[in-house]
Amino acid sequence: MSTADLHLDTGAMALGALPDDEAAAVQAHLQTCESCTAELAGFRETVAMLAAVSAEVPPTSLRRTVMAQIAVTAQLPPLMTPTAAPAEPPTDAVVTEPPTDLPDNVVPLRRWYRRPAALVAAAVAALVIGGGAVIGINQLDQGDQTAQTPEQCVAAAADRQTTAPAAGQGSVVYAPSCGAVTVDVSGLPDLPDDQTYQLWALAGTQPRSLDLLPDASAGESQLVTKPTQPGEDLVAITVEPAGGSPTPTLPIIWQAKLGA
Amino acid sequence: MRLTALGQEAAFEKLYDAFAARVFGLARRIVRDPSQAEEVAQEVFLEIWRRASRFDAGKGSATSWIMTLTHARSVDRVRSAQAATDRDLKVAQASTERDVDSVVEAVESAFERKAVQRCLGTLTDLQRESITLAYYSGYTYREVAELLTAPLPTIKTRLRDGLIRLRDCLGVAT
Repeated sequence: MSTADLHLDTGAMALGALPDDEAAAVQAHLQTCESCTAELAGFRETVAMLAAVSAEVPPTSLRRTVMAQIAVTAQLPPLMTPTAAPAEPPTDAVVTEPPTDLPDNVVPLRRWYRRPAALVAAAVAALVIGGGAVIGINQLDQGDQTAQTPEQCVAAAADRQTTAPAAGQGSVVYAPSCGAVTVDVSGLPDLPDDQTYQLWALAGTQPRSLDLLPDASAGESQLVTKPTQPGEDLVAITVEPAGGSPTPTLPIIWQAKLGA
Repeated sequence: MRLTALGQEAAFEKLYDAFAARVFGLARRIVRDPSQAEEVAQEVFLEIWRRASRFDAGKGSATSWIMTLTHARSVDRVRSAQAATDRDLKVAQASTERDVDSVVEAVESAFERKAVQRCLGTLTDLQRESITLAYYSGYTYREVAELLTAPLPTIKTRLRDGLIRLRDCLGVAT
C-alpha cells in the first residue's frame, strides 16, 4: 500500500472502520508520520463527541454490576519509568497537584507512578477533572443581610440554590432574586500560557460569555459572581485560546445547572 | 489502605456517572440489544478500571480513550459468532430491569448535542451517510463501500473529508 493511501486512512481509523490488517499497517506508519498522528488524535476527539448524540441513561443494574466487579478485580500496574523518584507526601494529589501541561485535564503517567497507593484515585479522578468533595458556600460572606454587592446579595439571598457540577469539583450558587450567580471553580488543572478557561452561561443552546478565569487557568481556585439573564439554565467552562473566544470551543469540560 | 481503596472506588464511581450514558448509549446504538449493550458497557468500565494506570494522556483525552474503547468492544460484540446465540438467550431477560439510573448524568448538555447535530448537518449526504454507517452501525469501510456501491478509496476519502469538516465545525483543537 502506498504512503498516500495510508495518509487517507486516518479517517477510517478514527472511526474504527479499518479491518485489523489495515489498522496494523496504519499503526506502523504512524510511528514515522507526525502529521498523521496529530490528525488521528484530532479525529479521535471529534469522533468521541459523536457519542454525545446517542447518549442514553443505562439501567441501575449496570452500576451495581460494574461496582461489584471492580471490587474484586485487580488493576494492572502502571508501565514503570526506570528513573527513581523521591518519595512525595501521600497527600491528596488530585487537588493539590494538578497537571501543568496537558490539553485535557489529565494527569500524565509519569506523575502517577511514584505514588502507587493513590494511583487510581488520582488517575480516575483526573479523568473526570478533579473528583473531590463539592466545596460548599461557606466561603461566602453570609453575614450581611443588607448587602449591596451581587456577591453579598447571592450569599444572603433566601432563594439561593446550590448545585454541584456534573463531574469534578466546585459549586454554583444561584439566586434568582439577585439575578446573579456565584461560581466556585476549584480543582481545574492549570493551563499553558496560551490557553484560558472561559465561563459561559447557557440559555438552552445559546451561550453567553460570563468571564475569563485567569486564576483557575493558573491552577488556583476562583470565585466569581456574575449577573444572569432570564432563560439561562446552565453555567459551563471551556478551554479557549488566551484572550477567550466569542463562542465556546467544545468540549465543555465543566458544567453545572443554575438552580435545582 | 482500606480507606485508600474506598477512595479509589469512589473516584471511579464519579467517572462512571460522567460517562455511563455515553458508553451505554453508544453500545446500545451499535449492538442494539439493551442487555448486550449493558454487557458491553460492563466490559468497558472494567477495562477502564484495570487499565487506568496505563492511560496515556499524551495520546489524547480520557473521553476519546473511553469512547474508542467502547466503540471497539461494541463492534467486537456484533461480530462475534457468539453474539447471535447470546441475543436469543438474552431477549427473555431484556425487560426484567429497565429502571434507569437517575444518578448518571442524563446527557451531555443540550448545547454539545445540538452542536454535533448541527455540524453533522454541514456534511454532504454521502459524507454523513458514510460516517454514520461506520461509526453508529460499526461497519468497516469496505462494508460501507459495499452498501453504498462506491469504490474503496472513495469511501476512505469521504470518511476523512467528513471528519475534517466535523472537526473544524466543532472547533476541536488539533
